[in-house]
Amino acid sequence: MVRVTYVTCPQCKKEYYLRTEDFSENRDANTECPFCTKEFKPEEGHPHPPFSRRE
Amino acid sequence: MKDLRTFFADYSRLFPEEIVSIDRAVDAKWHASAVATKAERACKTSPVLIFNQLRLLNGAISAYPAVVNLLSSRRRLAWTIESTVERFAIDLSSRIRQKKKPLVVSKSEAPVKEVVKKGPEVNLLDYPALVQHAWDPGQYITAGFLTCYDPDTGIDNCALQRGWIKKEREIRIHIGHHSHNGMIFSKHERAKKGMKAIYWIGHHPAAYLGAEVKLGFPESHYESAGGVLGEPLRLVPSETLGDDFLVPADAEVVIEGIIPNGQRRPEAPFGEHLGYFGGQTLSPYMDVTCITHRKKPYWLTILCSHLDEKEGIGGARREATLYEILRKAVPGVTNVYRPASCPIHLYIQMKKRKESDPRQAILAAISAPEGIKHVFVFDEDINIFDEPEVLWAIGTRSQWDKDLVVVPNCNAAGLDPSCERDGMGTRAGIDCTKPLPPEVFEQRTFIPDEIMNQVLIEDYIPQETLAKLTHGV
Repeated sequence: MVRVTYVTCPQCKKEYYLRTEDFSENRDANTECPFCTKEFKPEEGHPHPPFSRRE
Repeated sequence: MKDLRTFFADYSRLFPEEIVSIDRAVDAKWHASAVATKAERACKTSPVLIFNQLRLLNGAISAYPAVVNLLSSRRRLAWTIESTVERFAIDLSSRIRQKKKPLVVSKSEAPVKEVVKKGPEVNLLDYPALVQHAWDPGQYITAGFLTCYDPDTGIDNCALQRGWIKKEREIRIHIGHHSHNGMIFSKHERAKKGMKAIYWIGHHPAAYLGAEVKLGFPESHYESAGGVLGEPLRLVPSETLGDDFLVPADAEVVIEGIIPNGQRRPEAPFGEHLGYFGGQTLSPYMDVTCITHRKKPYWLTILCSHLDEKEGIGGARREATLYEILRKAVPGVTNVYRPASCPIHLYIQMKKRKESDPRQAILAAISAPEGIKHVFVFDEDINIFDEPEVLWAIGTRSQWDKDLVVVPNCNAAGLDPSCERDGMGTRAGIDCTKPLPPEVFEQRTFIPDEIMNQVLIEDYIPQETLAKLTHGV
């Protein structure tokens, strides 16, 4: 499993990353943008590498 | 009785230039860390910085001073335990062994109870915690000991674990699954109970050294703090967690709260000790019930990935434990140093008695619970505190086809970005020692001692020129 997954905040468009393990095991969890505090599902942030390539 | 105040008083008498009070307004967000970073680059010994006018995120000036770099100097920390840079690990491990039972005092005797705020009176955003790096989502507690009690034994556990001050009364906590606090929290979660916990912030540096050391589980960090302090740590009952939950009476600040079971919220990214941002996690959080502090508390911050963690407390605590472990594995080990250049490296100095000693030491170091990834073992004639000499010895005393020990698929530092898989990585060591007789080895160059001792450089290069050359002006 890759260590981190980049996402782009749908509100401020800035990029940061998540610990893949935490969020892949909790698919319903929101992430929170560290720059603008927007909460969103990682899938909405165009995660890369994509979920399908994580395992 | 020792605390941060007595340390400042004692230390500033001897090294007044190392405690710098800054009265200009400085932003909590990035500005204070930038000042500290520039000071770190400009000064041979990074001074303690006290920001008296810290501008909070809401634009107001904090009523309380922020302190950074207190724990950033190995020499300063060594001084607190009457040791030296070279003997620090040895002396600290000896002090840790001399545990002292804490002393419980009444609330009226506890400076940390000078101000007590409960429930809606608490607003953590009023306190001068810093936003350290560009991706950090907000103000973080980084010099706070997250402390809880093991429900099975009633023994305390303390660890420096970061906390994001998310709201007035909410702290999101990076508790670490495999840490002892994490193990205690798991016990609470299995019992479907919230966990009572505190953060205590600001104390004598020796208390920090003793409380942060890695112990067996369960073992009291309050007792090891007392051992390193050289006197019992004074404790006092909490305000909202019950009289049996004891908190350090001489801390600057204590934050009390409950960590709910089964709840996770986003925490981080955060600039961590290896010099990279750790990814956002789903972490527990603390519902804060109370804050107590001195009338004008010093809010201490550890600048992550800076000297605090490279040269100061981050390395020191590990060295003492590693020295203990290595001495048991290989009695010829004479010293250890976790270099400022990389917090997951370890240099071991030894008097080799058997050809197998360096390998035994490597295996002991990489299997110790101190997150060491690469180990380098040297002879007694190598000054392990001098990195050019260390690199010279690696280059001239090792052949990696036979001197390299590689152990794949070990536990890895969670923040090591070179690991392909989260939590798993390779650990390794290099034997950089000379072979024992009857094997032969070349003699390193030297100038006879009697001549070296005769020569005083000031007799040949003028003092003024020397001073410029020494300071790089």
